[in-house]
Amino acid sequence: MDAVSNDPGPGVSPNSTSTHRAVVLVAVLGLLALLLLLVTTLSLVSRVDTTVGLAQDRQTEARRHALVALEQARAHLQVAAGPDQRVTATSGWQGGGLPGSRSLTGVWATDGASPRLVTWLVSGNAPEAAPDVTPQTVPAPEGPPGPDEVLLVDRATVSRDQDRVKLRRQPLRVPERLFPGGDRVEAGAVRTVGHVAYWVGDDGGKASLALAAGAALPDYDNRSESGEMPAGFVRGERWASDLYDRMRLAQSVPRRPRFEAHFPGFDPLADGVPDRLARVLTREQLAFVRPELTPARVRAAFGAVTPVSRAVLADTARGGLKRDASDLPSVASPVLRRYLSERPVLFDGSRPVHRLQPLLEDPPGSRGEPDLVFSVGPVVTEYLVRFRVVRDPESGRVGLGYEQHVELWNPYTAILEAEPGELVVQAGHLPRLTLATPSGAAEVDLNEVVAAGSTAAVERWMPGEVRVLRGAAQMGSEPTEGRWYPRDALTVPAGIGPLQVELRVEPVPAAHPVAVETRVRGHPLATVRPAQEFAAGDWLVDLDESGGSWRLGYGLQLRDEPGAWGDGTRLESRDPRWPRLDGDCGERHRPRRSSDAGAHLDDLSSGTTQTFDPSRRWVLFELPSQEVVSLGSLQHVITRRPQAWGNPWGEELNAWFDQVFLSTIPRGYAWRPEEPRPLPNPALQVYWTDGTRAPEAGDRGLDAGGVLDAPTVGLHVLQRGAFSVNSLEESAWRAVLGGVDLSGWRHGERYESTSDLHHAFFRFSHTAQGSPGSPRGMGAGPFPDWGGVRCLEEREIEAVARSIVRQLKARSGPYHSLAAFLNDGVLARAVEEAGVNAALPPSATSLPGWMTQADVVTALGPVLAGRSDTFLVRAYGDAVNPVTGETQARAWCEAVMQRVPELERGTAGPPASAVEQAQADATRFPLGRAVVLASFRWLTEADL
Amino acid sequence: MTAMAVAGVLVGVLAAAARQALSAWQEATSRVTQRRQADGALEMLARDLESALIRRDGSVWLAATLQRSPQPARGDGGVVDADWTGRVKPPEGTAGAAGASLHLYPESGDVDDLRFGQAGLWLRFFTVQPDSNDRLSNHSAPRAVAYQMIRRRVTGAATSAGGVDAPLRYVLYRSTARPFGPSWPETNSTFASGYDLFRAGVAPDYNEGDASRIDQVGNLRTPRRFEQVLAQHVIDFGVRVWVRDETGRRRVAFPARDARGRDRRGFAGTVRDGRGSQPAAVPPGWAGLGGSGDDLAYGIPERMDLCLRLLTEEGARVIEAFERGRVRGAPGESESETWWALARRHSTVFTRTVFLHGRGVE
Repeated sequence: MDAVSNDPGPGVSPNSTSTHRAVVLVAVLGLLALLLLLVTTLSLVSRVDTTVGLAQDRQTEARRHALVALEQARAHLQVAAGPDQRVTATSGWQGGGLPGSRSLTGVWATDGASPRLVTWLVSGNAPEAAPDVTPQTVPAPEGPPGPDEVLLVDRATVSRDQDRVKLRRQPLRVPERLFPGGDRVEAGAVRTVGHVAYWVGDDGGKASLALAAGAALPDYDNRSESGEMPAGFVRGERWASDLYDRMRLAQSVPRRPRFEAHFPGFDPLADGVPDRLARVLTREQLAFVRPELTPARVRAAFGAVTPVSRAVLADTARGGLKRDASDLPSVASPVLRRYLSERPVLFDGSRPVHRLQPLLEDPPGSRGEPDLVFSVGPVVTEYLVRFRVVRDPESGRVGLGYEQHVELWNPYTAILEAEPGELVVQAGHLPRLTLATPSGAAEVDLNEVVAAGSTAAVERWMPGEVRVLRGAAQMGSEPTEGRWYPRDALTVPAGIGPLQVELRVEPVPAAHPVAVETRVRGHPLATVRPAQEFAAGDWLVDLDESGGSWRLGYGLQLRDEPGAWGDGTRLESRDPRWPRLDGDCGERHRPRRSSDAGAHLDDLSSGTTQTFDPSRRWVLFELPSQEVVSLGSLQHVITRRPQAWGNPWGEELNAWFDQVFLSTIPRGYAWRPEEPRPLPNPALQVYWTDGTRAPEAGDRGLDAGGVLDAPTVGLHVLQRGAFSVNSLEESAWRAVLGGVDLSGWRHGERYESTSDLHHAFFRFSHTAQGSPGSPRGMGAGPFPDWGGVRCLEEREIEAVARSIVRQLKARSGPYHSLAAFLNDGVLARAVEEAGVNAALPPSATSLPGWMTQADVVTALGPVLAGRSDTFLVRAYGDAVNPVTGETQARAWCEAVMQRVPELERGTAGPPASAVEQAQADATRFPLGRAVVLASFRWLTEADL
Repeated sequence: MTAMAVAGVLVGVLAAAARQALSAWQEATSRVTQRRQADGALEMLARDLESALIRRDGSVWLAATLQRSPQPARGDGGVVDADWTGRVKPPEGTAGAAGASLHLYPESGDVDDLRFGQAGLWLRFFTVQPDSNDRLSNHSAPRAVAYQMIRRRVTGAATSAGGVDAPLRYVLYRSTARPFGPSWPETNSTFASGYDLFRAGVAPDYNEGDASRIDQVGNLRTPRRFEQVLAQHVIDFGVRVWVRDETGRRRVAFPARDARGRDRRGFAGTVRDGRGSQPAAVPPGWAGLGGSGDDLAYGIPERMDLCLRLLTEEGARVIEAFERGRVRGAPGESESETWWALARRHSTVFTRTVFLHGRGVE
């Protein structure tokens, strides 16, 4: 075999051939290297691109998981807190054991005898199962989160470590069969694709800062253009032209909580601040209102302050929406209807003038007597009728001369005005009497003697005035004697005498005592009938043509003790206006009225009692002078015990706080929900359901579903600035208890005085400016004990708030209704513990300046709520590598969730009429009212 | 020799293959870049819209209005580098025509056929975006944000307009008005101007352009030149707005036609038939609407379908070449038709559906 030749051929040198080969080799290798480099570069670029894309995808996935967590939170909230008969509150109740975390929100069912814990609104708990995550088991907020923990509230939101919220992540598992190749894995296998966590914060227990209320006095117009108001409504009013009218509106309820103490230097009425407050949409924007509201201070006040919380006007005790008591024709109680429509006929300076009104009673309640009564008139505080034997000089007939004395007290801050003859005082249940002369005897029924009654010749009773009237058929300031002769004439001819007549009188038993009735325009007003007996008597009297001495008399006197009439804390106290004052209502300690009919002969003179002294004025009650804004001011409605409404002794009456509200929506003109003019009730906000149309006005009927139809008004309004009575935040209570702030408040009978009111609480929220008495300089502010308005100092408010929260925390759970809270007397005890009344003498308990729970409720009425309906929700989601389990992306979001009046019917829920929506039958609509996302935002860790 | 020939052929084949691969890679990269740009822009839009704030108080909380056609030289926004002169994206034209830029009701129903006018929609609303929280002006608080498409010269000059040779690009801007000024007292921020996008007379208002500083209220109408560009090669931008009607059903409120069959010129997120029986007050002489709100649709938006038409890099070069006169259209084809033919060939419409989570309760 030939050796392979290396000869390159003719003309080619071997060196040249080798060189060419080398060049080609190098070129090919170089080309291959370039290709390799190109491929590598492309591969790297693609990998970087893929990695970037994957990271974006993971972030998107984490965000999706956060949205899953948010929807879980909404569902949890919906199922647990959607029904009306649920209350929510933050943790911190110490009565049931260890306090644990203070940041969880619990839900309690109120459909039983006492609230029952349903769940804690946090991830890890199922809506309808016993909660696993509780304040005691939730991770401690201090320290960094563990590997399976995540922070949802951190130092960008709160100022202290103990206020942070740290939760355990919950795995988000997806069935393997949903992934490619999943049909080859065993059934039931799951894959963890990420984690979720959520936390629901209770904003209903915080004070609403962004309630803009400027220094301008509120306006209100309820006039009818035609001059005709709808049937059942009070005549229209225009509260815009008169400064004093507008001031009265401003003092009815506070227009906003007071935050001055939380943010030193902050003046909410400073130029432009109300306008800026009105622009606040989120908590972060609070720092934009004024430099004093620094982000650090806003963080420190996280637990106490929210921009605006809102509540559905629902009855947590019985379910269903509250009814609008401003829609007068639909108010079930005739008395309340009448009271709410009562208005003065005119104003005399600062004092309203009311006409006398006869008695109106509700049907008997559970106690066999009405709970509520209405009337306007003076109260009989003392009465005397006395008799003597007289002989007509011409005819010689023998009869009785008589005279009545009555002491009448106007307990109102208003002037009472009567037409001549409108008010009649009539004694009854007087005994029979025998007149015996030598020529015969006559039986006399003393009731017949005074049967015609006695009209009061008085046109006006000034506020708190006590007047004594004397007379027979007509009573005035000068006494006139009446004469009465028996039908069976008992005659003693002239010229006979001197002659003695025997007077014999029957006893009056305590079981059937003397009664004094007052009537207005022929209709009953009230009856006073102390259980007082009178002994029988027998006298021989000299017959004298010109009269002679009074021989016989009957008198009664109300208890001469202010506390018996004005201090409702006392079990035996009575409203002096109650239409049937009987039993133990007479004076016991220093009685001026004996059981001896022969002792009641002296004039009923003035100045001899402590309580009902014509030389002084004492007011206990007021009558509405305008639209009633707060249910607390119904403490002036006549009830068995005075000032029952809103006070602990209100008992069943306090259920009204859960059942009704006062919209103050005017009925005079066509108030349009789409362009709502301001209402006297500042806490009312028109709410629109889905769609863009404003709610219809309705036909003022019962079931039209409009905003003027009492049963369904609640579907179209929300309570703006609502504050849950179950709030455990002391500083929130401090803000809400701020009271009325009113500069340049004009008062005095002719508005002759001016004061600045700070932290003011009104007993007489309609009429305090005209109350009698003058400032004594005790305590802070004007009229500390007489004028019906108390101005507290900041330290007193702080002490009241501290006491309230202390009392609440000592419980094992929240109150299930406003009535339960009020009847338990939390506010009353707080006022007492804070020493608010300590500067007043004990005898002042019955004075308007003695602050009561109802006075606090009068100020808070429009904003008090039994539960929370606004929630701040934080949700978290992450995405994990399905192979390594490594967390590759995390996302947080935040939403404000709002419970709204419309029902959550689910996807196939039954349709509901407006009335059915208002009633919210728990069987048909177990999810209750819808929880919606009012606002939403994504967060980064810097926002937590 | 043979070896060299073979090597040469091999090199040629390899080079051709490499060129082909490179071209394919460039095309793929371009598509990926295009998609990434679209994803980024849509993601930002989605996040902004998900966090949008809305109230039923009669103010306009969201507005999406067609920009004028034809655009003025510097566009509705008046950006210093904007240039709508010469051969540019065609004006609205006759709806449905091949060269028209307004096509709100494509017969095909395909979003690829939707066109939102020469300069697309000007979308603005209020939202909350996460921020650093290190200053008041960087608070994670509500701010006004605007999206608009602008044809501008891409230049590196920071202080003067680009020269005529600078490349022309269609870009999508996202401009915001800061939540609050950097210090007290502040006057130029979302908080200071309030929440009515149509409100005139406040100083400054949201319809008055001002690009003098970043994140001022005037940026909504006139964005800054560089800092606020969100995506390049965006040649159309629009939205479809869904609202819930009185019966509770969701319906498209925009695009829509009025009772006379005319196209609505935009959508205002407010309650026209609610608070105030009159249309929202459009600022006088504003955006070609003649001061009347009658040309708008109204409602509280619940869902929005976003449409973004993006060119590829190659497409951008082709369109620019056509606009500079370096490319001719087919015989018998108008300039507008050519423009759209090129655009359709080199662009993709990206869409995304976004639900506005917050519905407000007042």
